[in-house]
Amino acid sequence: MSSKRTRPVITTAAAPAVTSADASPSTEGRVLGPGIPPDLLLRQLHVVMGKGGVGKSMVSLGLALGLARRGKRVLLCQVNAPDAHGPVLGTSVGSELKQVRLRLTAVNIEPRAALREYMLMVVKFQKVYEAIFENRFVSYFLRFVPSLAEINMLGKVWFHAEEKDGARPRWDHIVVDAPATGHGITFLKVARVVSRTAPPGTLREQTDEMARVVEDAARTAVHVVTTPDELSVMEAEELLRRLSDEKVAPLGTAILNRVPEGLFTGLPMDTMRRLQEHTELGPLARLAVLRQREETAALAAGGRLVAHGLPLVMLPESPTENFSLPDAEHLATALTVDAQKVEAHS
Amino acid sequence: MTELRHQLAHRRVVCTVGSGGVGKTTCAAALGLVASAMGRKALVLTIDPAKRLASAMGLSALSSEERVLDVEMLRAHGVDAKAPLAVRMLDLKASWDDMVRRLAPNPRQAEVILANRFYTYMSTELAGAQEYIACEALYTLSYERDYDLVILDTPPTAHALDFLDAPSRILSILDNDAVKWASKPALAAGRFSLRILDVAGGQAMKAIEKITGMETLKELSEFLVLFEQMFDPIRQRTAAVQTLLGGKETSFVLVASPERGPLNQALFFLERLREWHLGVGAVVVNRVRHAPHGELDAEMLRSALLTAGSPTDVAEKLVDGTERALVEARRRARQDLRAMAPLRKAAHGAAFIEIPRFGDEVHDIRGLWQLARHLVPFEE
Repeated sequence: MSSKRTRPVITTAAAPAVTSADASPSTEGRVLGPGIPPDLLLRQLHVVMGKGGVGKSMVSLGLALGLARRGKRVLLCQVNAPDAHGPVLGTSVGSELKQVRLRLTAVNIEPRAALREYMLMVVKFQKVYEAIFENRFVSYFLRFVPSLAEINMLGKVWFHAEEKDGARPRWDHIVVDAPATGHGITFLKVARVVSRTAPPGTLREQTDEMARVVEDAARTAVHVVTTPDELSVMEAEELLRRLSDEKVAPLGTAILNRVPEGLFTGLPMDTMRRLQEHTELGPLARLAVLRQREETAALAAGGRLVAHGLPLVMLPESPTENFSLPDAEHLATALTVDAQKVEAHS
Repeated sequence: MTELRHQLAHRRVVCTVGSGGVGKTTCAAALGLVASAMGRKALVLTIDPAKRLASAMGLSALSSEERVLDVEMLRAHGVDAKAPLAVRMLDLKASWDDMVRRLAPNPRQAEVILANRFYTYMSTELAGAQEYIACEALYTLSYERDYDLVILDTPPTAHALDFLDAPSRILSILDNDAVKWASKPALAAGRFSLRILDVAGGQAMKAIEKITGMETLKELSEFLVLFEQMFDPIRQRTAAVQTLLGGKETSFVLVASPERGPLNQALFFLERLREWHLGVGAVVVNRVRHAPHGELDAEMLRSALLTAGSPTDVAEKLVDGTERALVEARRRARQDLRAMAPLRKAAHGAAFIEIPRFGDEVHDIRGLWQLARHLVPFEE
């Protein structure tokens, strides 16, 4: 699967943008190598995971935009988080599905709304639901049903994954911006854990079905996002190990985000290092030396991620001060461009 | 800024709060070193330190025993220490179990509670459970031991509110009309389910049963009956913890890093702290990117590189790279400055401290001391 892929190289100069046929003309910037391999891209459920602050939400948004650009119907889900997608798209995304672009619909899954939807599926009648679950006595007890909030939120993802529009699925792709690391694993595992421990009944049956979708290598891919700094890479490696050791869900790609442009890669830095003590030039020499170390660290991070045996996708640091739609469009290109187009340009 | 110094000199409790991965633990440890330099006997209570940081502080993953970094050892690492610094890793599950053993009417009941599935869930998974027990441990350690100052590195929360809300939330779950009404006396008489059934017009029980199975409710009723006897001591304790956190003896140090998510969390947290009249000691933004001052004299750099022995073409590329690196560094610095602006504004009244990004992660006592001096600059 990933054996055909050559190891990507960090380009030392700004490469021209690789634009697919229907790419937005505003996409500019570097493409550092192939995006997510086509066979992985075909999967229906893409779960994007990583430590807080590594750009997980923007990668999810970029992936969703890229898939929609390819003519697919896409649902982009945030999971009980402050809305990160809405501001970039110039709108707000809440717990109701909302079409935000051509072929792209977004939602922010909130536990209360998801509980309501899920229970309505089980209980079937609105009035009965209200009589039961909006009763303040009962709602106290529901808090004690282990992991109910996570089951409901994952349940909503599963529900949409199974939704049909005639004979075909309503959503070609669902992109999930998963909760940060620890919570993300809990979120993905909840269905299997509950299906193993729950007594026979609706809950066991449904969580078992959910778990089968999450674990299905033909349908699901988990992408792990990290930035090149040591702490994030360590956490990403730990996450990759746990995902595969605990067989939580099939792995997709490792995504190395905010790879710095190669300004000094391949250049001898010894003279620069000596200038660090220079009275006037010292601060600049230190800047250059640290900057070169960043590049080395990014290369090393890429190597460490590749060693886990999954395809690596590298995304450039955004050159703008405020992440906005054109940046997201560029991420879309970088994430979905295929290897042949990259090679044609280099 | 002398404000944080003042807090460390006079408060009994300092809590570092913020989202995960922003350097909260590192800041807590650095504040411990500041306390030591002030001659105060402090304890740093941490939850889940990074491996290298933990080993720098002499902590091992397997033990929650207290470690004391003595004055000589700290001085050997360059710290201007005047008092020993104690560090301890908090085992949250063990702390819950300890509390149950302490408060249960008898050891046999304690064991039944410890084995109950709902108890396990409550003590590990229920939102706010970790935060609750961290507060509990903080209280025990600050009153039952003779530290001058306890610095609590709060658990990383998915939602900042969880920590502040935890004591009252746990209490509201355990102690509310619904539980009382349902559990007394019908529960003890084994008629728990019937009573609930009445409440919601006969449908509630069936629906819950349909979803969770009957065993779940039996176990829940057992848990509630047993735990009910501990409500009073827990209630008293919770009130005392809230008084400690809300009082003049405690101050909160908010930690963030200059990315959008952590900054928003910090902003949200700051609002809550103010709303609840809790003492905000300082707002710290960690790993802020700065650019060198002044302009780049390309000619000067080129000739300096040539003099230092760079071939002409290499020198050219290095100068070009440095120019671009400077533009980038300025852009990054502006980006961080802009991102921090709302938090800086909201911090008014509390010290706002920016910690520059060091070349490497802080992972030893020397690095912690460097960080400490940024947090509380010492007058020489």
